[in-house]
Amino acid sequence: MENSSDLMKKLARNLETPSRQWYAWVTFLSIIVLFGVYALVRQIQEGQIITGMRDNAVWGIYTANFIFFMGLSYAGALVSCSFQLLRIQWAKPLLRIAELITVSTLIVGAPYILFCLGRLDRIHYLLMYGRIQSPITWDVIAISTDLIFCIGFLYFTHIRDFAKLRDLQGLKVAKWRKKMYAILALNYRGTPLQKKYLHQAHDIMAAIIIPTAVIAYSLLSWLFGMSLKPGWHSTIFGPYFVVTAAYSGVALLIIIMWLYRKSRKLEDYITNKHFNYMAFGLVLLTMAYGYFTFSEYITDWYNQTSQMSALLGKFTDMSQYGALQLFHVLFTMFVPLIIIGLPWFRSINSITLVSLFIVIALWVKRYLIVVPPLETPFIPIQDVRPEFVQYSMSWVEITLTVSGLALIVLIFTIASKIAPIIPVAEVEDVEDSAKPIIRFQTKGA
Amino acid sequence: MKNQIYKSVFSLIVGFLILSIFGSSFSMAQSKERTRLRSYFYIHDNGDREISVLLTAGRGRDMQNVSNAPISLEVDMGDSTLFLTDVITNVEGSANLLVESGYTFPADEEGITTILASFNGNDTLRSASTDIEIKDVFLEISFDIEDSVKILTVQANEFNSEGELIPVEELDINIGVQRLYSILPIDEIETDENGIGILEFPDDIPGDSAGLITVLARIDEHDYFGNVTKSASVNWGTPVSYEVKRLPRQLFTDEAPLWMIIGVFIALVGAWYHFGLSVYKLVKLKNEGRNI
Repeated sequence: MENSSDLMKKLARNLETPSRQWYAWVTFLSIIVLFGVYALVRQIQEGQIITGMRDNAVWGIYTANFIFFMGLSYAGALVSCSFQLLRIQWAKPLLRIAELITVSTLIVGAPYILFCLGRLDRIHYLLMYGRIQSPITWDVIAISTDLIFCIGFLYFTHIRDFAKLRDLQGLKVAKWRKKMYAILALNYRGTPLQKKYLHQAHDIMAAIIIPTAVIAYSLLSWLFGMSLKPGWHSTIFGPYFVVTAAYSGVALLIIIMWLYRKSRKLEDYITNKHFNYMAFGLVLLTMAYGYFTFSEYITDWYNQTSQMSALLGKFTDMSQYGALQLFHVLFTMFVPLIIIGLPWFRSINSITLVSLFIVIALWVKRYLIVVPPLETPFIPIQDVRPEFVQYSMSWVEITLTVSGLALIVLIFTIASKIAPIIPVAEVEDVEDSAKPIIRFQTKGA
Repeated sequence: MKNQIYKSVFSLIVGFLILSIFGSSFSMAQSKERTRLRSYFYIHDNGDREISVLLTAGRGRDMQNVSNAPISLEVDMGDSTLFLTDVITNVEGSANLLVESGYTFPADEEGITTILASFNGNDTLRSASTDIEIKDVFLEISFDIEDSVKILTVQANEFNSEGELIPVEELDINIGVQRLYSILPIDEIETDENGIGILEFPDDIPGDSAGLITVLARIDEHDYFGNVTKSASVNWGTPVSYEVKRLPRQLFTDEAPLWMIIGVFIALVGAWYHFGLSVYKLVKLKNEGRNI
C-alpha cells in the first residue's frame, strides 16, 4: 500500500473535475428523483386515493420502505461506530461507506412515513399535541436525534480528509471547493492536541450513536409490537428488528464495497479479506436471523387465533403471499448458508450476488410484516368495499420507491465526489487509533 | 274443411288474447306485496297522547318497514267516521300522531275512542287497515314516610260516561327508577277499588349527590290505556358523589406516567449532552489550529 500522500493523490483524482459520464449519470438519477417529486405532488393534490392504501390496509410499501431504509441506516451506524470504538484495523477502508449508508438511507427513509399521512398539513400537530406515551412520538424524537447525530458523526470522520485535501498540492478542483475544504477542515493541522480532541469527539459520538440506533430501531419495531394485530403483537420484535437491520446493512455494505471496488479500481484497499470477513459476519447474521424468524413463526403457529391461522395460511398459500414468503425464506436463511457458508461456492462475486438477494428478500420481509396483517384484522371493517380490503401498490408508490433508491445512489455519487470513499486519514492512522478507548488498571499494576 | 281450420285458428287467437289479458291482470295482482298495519297507543309523562301506526310489507316472515307512505287516521263514530289527519310514515315505517293533553276525542258511552288507521295501497303495495281502542287514564304519584318506612302511592283515575273522574280498579302498574340508560324495575303493584296502589319503597337505591331519584309508574300494553308513563322525583335515594376523580398518570391519560417522562428526559439530556461535548471538542480543535 502507498504512503498517505500517495493514497490521497490517487484517490483525489476521482474528486477532480467531473467527466461527462458523471454528469450524465447525475442527470439520469435526478430525473428519476424528479419523477418521485411529481408523484408526491400528485398524491398531495389528489389525496391518498391515488395510492393503494385504503380503509383496511392503511399502510403499504411506504411503511415497508420506511422500515427497510431505517434498518439499513441503523445497521450502517452500528457497523461504523462499532468498528470505530473497537479499533478494528482491517475495517478502516469500509468506514466511510458504512457512514454514508447511514446518512443517505436515513435522509431518504424517514420521509416515507410522512407519505402515509392523509393530512400532511397537520404534521406539526405531532409536535403540538404529541403524547409522550405514544411509540410514534418516541420514534419521531429518536429518528430526528439519530439523523443529527449521524450527520455529525459523518462530518467528524471527514475532518482529517478535508484537511488533507486542503493541503494537497495540484488538486484540480474549483476554488470554492478548495475554500470549502479549508472551512470544513476546522484548522486541523494534525497536532497531538488536535488529534486527541478529534479522537475524543469520534469516540463520544460513536458511543452514543450505537445505543441511539438500537433504541430507535427497537422503537420502530414497537410501533408494530404494541399494536394488537395478528403477526404484529410480538415481544421479540425489538431484537428481531435490530438483527434484521444489521443483516440488511451488512449485505448492502458488501454490495457497495463491490461497486466501488470495481468502478474506482480499489482492489488494493477493498480486498478479498474484507469480503471474507464481512461474509463471515453475514453467515453469523443469517443464523441469528433464522433463529429469530423461526421463533416468531413457531410461537404464532402454536398459539393460533382464527385470524392468526388465516394470516399463516396466507403465508403458505401460493396464490396469496406464499411465493413472496418462500423467496424470503430461501434467500435469507438457506441460500446464504450454502453459497457463503460452503467454501466451494464462496467468491467475491458470489458473496455480492447473495448479498443483493438478501437485501431484496429483507425488503420483501418488511412488506410481509406490514401488509398481510393489515389485511387480516381481528375485527374486520363491516360493509367495506371488497377492493378496499386488499392492498395493491399504485404507480405513485412505485415511483416514490424507485426515486428513493435513485436519491440514495445520487447522495453516494455526490458524496464520493466531495471526499474519497476510502477514509485516507483513518487508513494511515493505524497506530494512533489502535490505542484502546477504555484502559483497565488493576491495583498494584 | 278450410272453415274449420279458420275457426280453430280464430278460437286459438281469441283464447290466447283472453288468457293474456286476464293472466297479466292476475300476475299484476300477484306482484303487489301484502301489507300489514299495527297500532299502538302511548300516554306520555306530560299527558300528551301518541297514536303510532307501523306499516310493514312483504311475504311470510320477511316483512319490511315501509317509509314515506300516507296513513289515514279517523275516529269511528258508529255509523260514520271523523277524519283526523293523514300521517306519512317515517324511515322506520311508523306514522305517529301526537295529540296534546287538552284535546278530547269523541268517545262512546264507556269513554272509549276507536281510532281507524288505513293505508290505501299503491302500485306495488296492497291496502291495509287496523283499529285501536283508546282511553285516557290519569296517574298520580305521591310519597309518604310512615314510621321511617317509605311509602309510594299511585292513584289511577279515568273518565266515566258523564265525564267525571273515577278510580280504576285492578290495574297493574310497574314501578321503576330511571337510570342512565334504562329503567331499574322495583316492583309491580295493583290498584284497589279506590284506584290506589301502594308500595313499600326500598332504602338502597342510589340517587344523585342529593339522593334525588326519578320514580316511574308505568302501564304496559293495556287494552285501552296502551302504554302509560308517569314520573316524579323524590330524594329517597342514597346520596352518591359523582365528582370526577382525577385519574393517576397512566398510558391512556393525558399526562404520561412520571417514570416515563423522567426516563425520556434522562435519555435525551444524556444523548444531547454528549453530542454537545463532541461539538465542544471540535471547537477546541478549531481554536487550537488558529494558534499554529
